[in-house]
Amino acid sequence: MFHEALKEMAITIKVFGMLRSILGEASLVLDPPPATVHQLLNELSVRYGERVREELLDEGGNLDYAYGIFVAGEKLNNLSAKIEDGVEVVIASIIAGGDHSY
Amino acid sequence: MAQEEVPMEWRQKFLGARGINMFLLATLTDATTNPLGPDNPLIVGLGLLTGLPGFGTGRFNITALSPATGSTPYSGNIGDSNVGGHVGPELKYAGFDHLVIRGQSSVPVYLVVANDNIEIRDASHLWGKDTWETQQIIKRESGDERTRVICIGPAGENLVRMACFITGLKDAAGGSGLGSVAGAKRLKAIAVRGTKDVSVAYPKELVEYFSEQTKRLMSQKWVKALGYLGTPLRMTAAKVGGWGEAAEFGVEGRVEEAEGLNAEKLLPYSLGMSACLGCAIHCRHRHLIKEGRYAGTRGEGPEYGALVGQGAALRNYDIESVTYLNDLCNRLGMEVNAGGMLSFAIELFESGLIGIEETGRPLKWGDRDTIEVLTQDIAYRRGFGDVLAEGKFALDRLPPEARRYLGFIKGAATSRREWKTVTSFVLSQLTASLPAHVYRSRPGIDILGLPAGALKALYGRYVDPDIKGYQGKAFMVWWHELLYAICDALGCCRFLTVFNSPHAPQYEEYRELLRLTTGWDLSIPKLQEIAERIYTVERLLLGRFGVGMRKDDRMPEIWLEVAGSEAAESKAKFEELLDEYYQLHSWDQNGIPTPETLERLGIVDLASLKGT
Repeated sequence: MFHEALKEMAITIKVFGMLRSILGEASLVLDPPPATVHQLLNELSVRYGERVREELLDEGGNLDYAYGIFVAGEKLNNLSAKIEDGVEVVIASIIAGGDHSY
Repeated sequence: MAQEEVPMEWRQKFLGARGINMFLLATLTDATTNPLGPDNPLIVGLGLLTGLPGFGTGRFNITALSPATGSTPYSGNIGDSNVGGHVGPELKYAGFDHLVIRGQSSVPVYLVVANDNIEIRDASHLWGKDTWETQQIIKRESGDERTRVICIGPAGENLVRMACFITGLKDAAGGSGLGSVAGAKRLKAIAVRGTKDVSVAYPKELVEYFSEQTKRLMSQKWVKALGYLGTPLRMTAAKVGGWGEAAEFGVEGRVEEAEGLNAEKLLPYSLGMSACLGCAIHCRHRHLIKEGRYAGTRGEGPEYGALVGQGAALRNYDIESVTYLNDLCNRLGMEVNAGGMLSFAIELFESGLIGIEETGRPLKWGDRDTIEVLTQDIAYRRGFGDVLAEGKFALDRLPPEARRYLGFIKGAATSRREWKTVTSFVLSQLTASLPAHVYRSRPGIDILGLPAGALKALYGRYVDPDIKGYQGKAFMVWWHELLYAICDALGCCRFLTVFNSPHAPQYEEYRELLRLTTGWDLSIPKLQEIAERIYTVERLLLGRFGVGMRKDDRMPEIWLEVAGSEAAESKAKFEELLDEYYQLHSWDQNGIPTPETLERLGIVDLASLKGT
């Protein structure tokens, strides 16, 4: 019972774009879950190396615009943004183009 | 055939490419010009910097009256297409900046442009060939592998209103049906080879500046990401961020299948990435399918537009099929999804508005065989394909209820019906000087989630960071309109300006490139004034065709119907945005350029042209 409750707290990270080639994985589970974007980056950097932080942060140490970190369709725009337990987080490269006109 | 210097006054007023092309289109046509008749000028225009060291300077524009978006099958509307590859630069090295092709040949012909010389050759042996074969034959005949070719395929020959030009494997001048304008002239191709020098003001400094800027660009993450996965990257972010099309998500029960079209799924087929001449981004895949039903399929792409158009929009989630269909459209010289007509036709069939007696076969979502056959039928105008080949004018041959399945913006049909969530994207599409076009002014960076401070630093004023917000969005659209007009007039790529990143080159970098290339030192306000002039000429052209007023900048009725209860509030908000947008342009409240504005921009003469 206690174990099941803990499992529900874990978050799933789905990774797309450049970051997938760096991590070498399409998805992973973090348990215990990080509470903020900052903690999420720390955890990923511990597991996969500093390159993760270099990739996701800009020179000023803020989230790089080239990536989006999303939870339930909401884009998390700063490192202090909270991450609820049990959610699915998507990290994807962002571009605006390639659309069609019709 | 006549050759003349581009007057310096035109350069000063419009720079080149889209700018000069639009001026020529306005002066060489009137409201009665038939887009598929001999009097419609096909205008090829290089940017001032096309072929020179710069930011994606493989680009140029092809401009003519569009046969796809006029009020009748015989009347035109503004038509324009920006295309990359290598043929534009080659034209520069052959000594030409613009080609204006008028008249109509009785037999198929193609143009051979080489070092200050233009020759018309018989193209009877090329007529009926697809775009890849055509280019191969012309190259072989020229005896020079470095000959560059832009041509039409069977769709253009058969006057399909969604026909485009193709150069290389996939670079397309599409969106305005200009392939059929060439087809009507029986102009199969333009072959170009140039070995002339191009003089620049400060060659050493220009090369140094180019190297430094290219290095800077190639170190940026968004450039690396595009160079790794290309525009298909957008599939995932658009879905999770909620700014994509509903179709991308996969229809009910097929959401997981739609994941099969994500960018990463293309990697097993990618042979590497390729680019237009001199570009820092290599944004398109070279692909090869090695096994299975589509074994042997080689080409470039598919881009995001094809993944949606030939894939998700048709509920075809087989990435190999989508890749094959992408190449098929390129070879036929036709827009993917036949410009939306395939999904339109399937929707009509599935809703029972049309049946086998009209179509000759069942049309079903996701039926890749039918999609393939119908694509070819449209290009060759066979059976029901002949109806769809007429684009929006197919409505004349379909039940009246079919009209409800298309929306119209300034005469252009759009099969999109979902409520869009990015305010600036919607406003840009509604006001675009190329009807319904999504790139004329799209503030791409709006989706990056930039904080208000970063937006203020860029735009010099408050812009709501919320993609659903309204404040500052009219300014954003206006600002990007002007930037992209300059980008096009210079022959630079929009992917290398403030579109995917706030850190991409823009006015300051363009100023420096212009100075090093031409010796001109133009201020940013002066560049913006040139952009205003270009955009206002386009607005006058829209006015000539009866679609250049406030009533034409509004959402299609079908969008509002789908929006339901939200529509009234949004409608009112968009009216406020239009007020602000017109003020920024110094147009009147009906969206018409004022006499004072025309005077200030030095284009009073254009306002008095017949039909304007």
